[in-house]
Amino acid sequence: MAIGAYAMGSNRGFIYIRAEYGLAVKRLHIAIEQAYKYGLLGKNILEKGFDFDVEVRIGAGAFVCGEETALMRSVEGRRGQPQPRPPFPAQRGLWGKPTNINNVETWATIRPIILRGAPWFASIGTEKTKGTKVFCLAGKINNTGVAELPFGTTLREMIFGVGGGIPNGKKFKAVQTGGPSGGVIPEQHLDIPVEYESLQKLGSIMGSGGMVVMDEDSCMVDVARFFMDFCCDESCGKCPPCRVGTRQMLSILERICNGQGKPDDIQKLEDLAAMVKDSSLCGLGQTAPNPVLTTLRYFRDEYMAHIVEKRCPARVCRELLHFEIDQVACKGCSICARACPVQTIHKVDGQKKFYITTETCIHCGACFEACRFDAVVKTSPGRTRTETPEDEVLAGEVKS
Amino acid sequence: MIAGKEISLTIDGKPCKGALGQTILQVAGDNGIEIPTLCYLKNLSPWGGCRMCIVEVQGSPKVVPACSTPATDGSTVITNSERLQGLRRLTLELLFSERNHFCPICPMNKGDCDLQQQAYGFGIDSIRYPYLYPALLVDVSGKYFGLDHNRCILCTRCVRTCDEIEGVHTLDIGNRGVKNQIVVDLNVMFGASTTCTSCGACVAACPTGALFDKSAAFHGPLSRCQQVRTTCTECPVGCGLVVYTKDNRIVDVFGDAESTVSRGHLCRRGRYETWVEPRPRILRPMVRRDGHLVPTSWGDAVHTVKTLISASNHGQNAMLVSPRVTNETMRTLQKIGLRFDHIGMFVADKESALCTSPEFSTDAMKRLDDADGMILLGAQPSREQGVVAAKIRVAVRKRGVKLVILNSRRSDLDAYADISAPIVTLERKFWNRVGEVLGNVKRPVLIYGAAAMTAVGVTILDRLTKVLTSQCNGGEMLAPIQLPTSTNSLALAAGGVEPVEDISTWLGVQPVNFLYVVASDEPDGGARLLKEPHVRAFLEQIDCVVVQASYESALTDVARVVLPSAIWCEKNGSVTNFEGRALPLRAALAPSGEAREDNIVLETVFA
Ligand SMILES: Cc1cc2nc3c(=O)[nH]c(=O)nc-3n(C[C@H](O)[C@H](O)[C@H](O)COP(=O)(O)O)c2cc1C
Ligand code: SF4
Ligand code: SF4
Ligand code: SF4
Ligand code: SF4
Ligand code: SF4
Ligand code: SF4
Ligand code: FES
Repeated sequence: MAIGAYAMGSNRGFIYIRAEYGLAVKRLHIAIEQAYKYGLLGKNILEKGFDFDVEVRIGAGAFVCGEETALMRSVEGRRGQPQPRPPFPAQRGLWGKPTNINNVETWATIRPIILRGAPWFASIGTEKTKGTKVFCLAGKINNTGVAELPFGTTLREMIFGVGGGIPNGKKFKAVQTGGPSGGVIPEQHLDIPVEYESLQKLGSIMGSGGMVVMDEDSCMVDVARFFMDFCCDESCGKCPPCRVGTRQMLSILERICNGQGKPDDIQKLEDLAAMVKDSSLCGLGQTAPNPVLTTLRYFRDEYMAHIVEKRCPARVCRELLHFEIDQVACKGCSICARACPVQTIHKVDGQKKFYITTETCIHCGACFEACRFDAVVKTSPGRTRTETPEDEVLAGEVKS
Repeated sequence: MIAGKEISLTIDGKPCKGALGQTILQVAGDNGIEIPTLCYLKNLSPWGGCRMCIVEVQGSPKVVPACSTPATDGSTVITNSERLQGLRRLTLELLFSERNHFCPICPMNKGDCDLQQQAYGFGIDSIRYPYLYPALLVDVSGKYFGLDHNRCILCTRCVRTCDEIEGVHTLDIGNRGVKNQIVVDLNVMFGASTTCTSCGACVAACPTGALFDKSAAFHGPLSRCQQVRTTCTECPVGCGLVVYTKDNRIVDVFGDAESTVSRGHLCRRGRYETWVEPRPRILRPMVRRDGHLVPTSWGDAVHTVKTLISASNHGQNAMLVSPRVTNETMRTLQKIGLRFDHIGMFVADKESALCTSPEFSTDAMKRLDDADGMILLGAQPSREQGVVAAKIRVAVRKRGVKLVILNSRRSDLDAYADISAPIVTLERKFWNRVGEVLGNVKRPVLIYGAAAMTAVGVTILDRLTKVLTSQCNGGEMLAPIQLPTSTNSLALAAGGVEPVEDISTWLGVQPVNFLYVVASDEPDGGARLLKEPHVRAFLEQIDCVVVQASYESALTDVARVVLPSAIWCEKNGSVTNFEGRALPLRAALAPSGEAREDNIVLETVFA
């Protein structure tokens, strides 16, 4: 930052970090203190007659405050809400002054570029995207953690090479890239080299470099619901497309997961997603529909299973599950009966076996987790429409 | 980049001219192309939140908000493609699904609501998404207006108005996402706000039924009311009013955006007090018979007054008028003046000193907008001339203007001041600080009011004028701005009417035995004349008092004859504000009961 400031003629710098990242805050303070001690910050840096001060500003835990205009408002002590650009930060930023804003990672690449030269840096990466990127591997993957890799590395290399593959011999299903509003990429695209353009083409983003790996036990509708819930909660509320649009998409996803989806819900979701993407003010709203759009693109059949057959193929969506005890496998240990919060597991008369009264089961899965003999069977058999006439009433809310 | 340089662009295929620095919305508007908006309001900073004004700019894949995007030379803009209309329509649908917009039970129903108008424009009669309808607070704790969160679309027009026009920042948004809500102060009920001045500007700015004037609610759409543009006569600023009436009754009063004085802003007094506060009117002429005032005809009342005048011919006659009377009434007074031994106007405390050298401060309001330093001496604009106080607050908060206040009483403005001090003999240290604070000021404005007219006050005024002249660093020090308290006092003084503060001395000089008081629509009915007990005793003793007033008061108790005056919204003519502008009064209502305008009454009585 000091180098950048010297080049730009700036005398004040800020590092913005969420209060939740206590350890990072602590380390930053130590690092800054040391830099001052070495004379790398403060007055007359390295006898160059150049002054530069860095302050740490602590954010109050809002995702949207990572958006640059919101971040600057937050640094100023105002409500962290994005503003339309232009004016861009470089024209009018902090307190109306021209401001340069970059990610810590971007700053970290300055040093090696200066030391080794631009041609060296440009030799890494792909035709369009140069250099390296720090990726954060998480989810159903053996080696979770942070890895710096050259652009152009394929998703397969990341997940099965660096990441060491999927634990417990499960099958890979999808990977979500770029943070909570990134798209979900399926198996058939694992061999694409990771760069901005290729991810965009698949409906996803580079974003933070996050990689959330999902295995066969993940329900893609549930995944879309989960991330929509996040975006809806983190929407700052400034613009209606994001504020209300994410909320409405969440409602639709929730009812699909609950088995109350209606045939035109997919159309409604697609309409809303396209609109929220186009109309929203900032990156949060513009990317929030990505998980929905990509799951609809690559896993449409899962949506159809939920809506039409009332079935969750990955057996995740609670309302669509059915629990049964396999009478052959059951050893009569009673651990399931003790785990059941609604006491709906009973002993079969005269036998050392247990059974579940389906009518009163709340699909919590406690028995499934508890049983050590895999005797509890979780299925999502689906329901036909005629079986549940009340579905129609529940789903067909007031026609307006 | 030279702001103001001419640029050309194509909007919807139409070649348009604009100026560099203008937004796409402004250029389109100037060229007759309308773009729907909700969160945009002229004179406020652009918000870019509602996304109704989105347009396509050739070469950019993303849509951009026209209200905040600068127009660029040579660009091609589309404002009405099918895609844009679809996006806007869905935005409206989402807004309607978000909160309760059952129009039939909304105060803004049928035409006063921008949201409803937009929906009509897009032909929306139903929405595809479920209503979310949280049950939110309807805050009617405020005196003059209510805030129904259920109708709020979070456009922040109120927030920005309160911050950028009234300058107090009472309102802001709380929470995040769909839980967003307008909050008052630190989330209190409106009625409990300690910062709200009740200027009502937020209500005027609100595009929906969220903020509504209580007295105006459910009286039908304003578009079906008569509109009359007139002038507020509560103080010498003279803000422009638009009075909405129906069936000879006021439905609402808003600021007149066309007013050169106030550009649409008002303070609580002009916006609400004059018509919301209950004040018992005098509706008929009355004469005293057997110790009681009894209603009578105009003919009888005028006859009685004439008889009283001729009976008092051997003694002294005196007339006292309110400084609120119109210029036309002043001219009538000048005509009939010879009939009286004394004519005076009863001004506010210490105001007579201002009136002995009446100074109109040309373009004072504009100077307040341009100033980079302000000194307020002996004036209480936040109590008296609210729109001036708003300008001071905005200057300090938005432009970083330096402010020095010297006053005999504290006020909320002190919180905005770099220095605030009482009007007493001040030490050298104080003047040094004033010098420091105003050191870099180039366009200072010195505003002084009646309370500066004490011996100490006048020395301070002289001293300040010198400090500023020497210190404004080559900038020009224009004449100080005289800010009186009474509405038309400067014009009346300039017209030769003697200002009277101390009534008892004034009356005591000569043995007055006939007194005619024109209290006009003084809110207290002129009762302040009786502040000192011996004045009352004196008036009771001469028994020849005629009171011409709009409102009942203790003054009518001592009157022999009472004549009903028209009030502000029933008057025609003009008043002259502190800048010297003659501002028109246009009657929005016919006078109540048998009331008549002051000059007409005077002409009848003294014909
Ligand atoms: C909703 C949202 C959240 C963001 N969060 C972060 C963040 O946590 N950290 C970050 O560095 N950039 C974040 N960004 C991106 C920044 O706005 C900004 O573009 C970036 O930091 C610029 O730095 P760079 O050009 O060096 O990447 C976020 C953007 C959006 C729209
Ligand atoms: S897109 Fe969402 S987060 Fe961004 S400004 Fe709009 S409401 Fe706020
Ligand atoms: S799923 Fe939960 S509620 Fe149902 S039987 Fe098992 S433990 Fe009981
Ligand atoms: S605010 Fe407007 S749209 Fe909402 S109920 Fe009132 S009139 Fe209808
Ligand atoms: S009435 Fe005036 S001061 Fe009060 S909240 Fe509204 S704009 Fe602000
Ligand atoms: S109260 Fe009115 S002006 Fe304020 S945000 Fe809500 S709709 Fe907009
Ligand atoms: S500032 Fe004076 S003229 Fe303007 S609205 Fe207030 S009282 Fe009326
Ligand atoms: S009017 Fe431009 S975004 Fe609201």
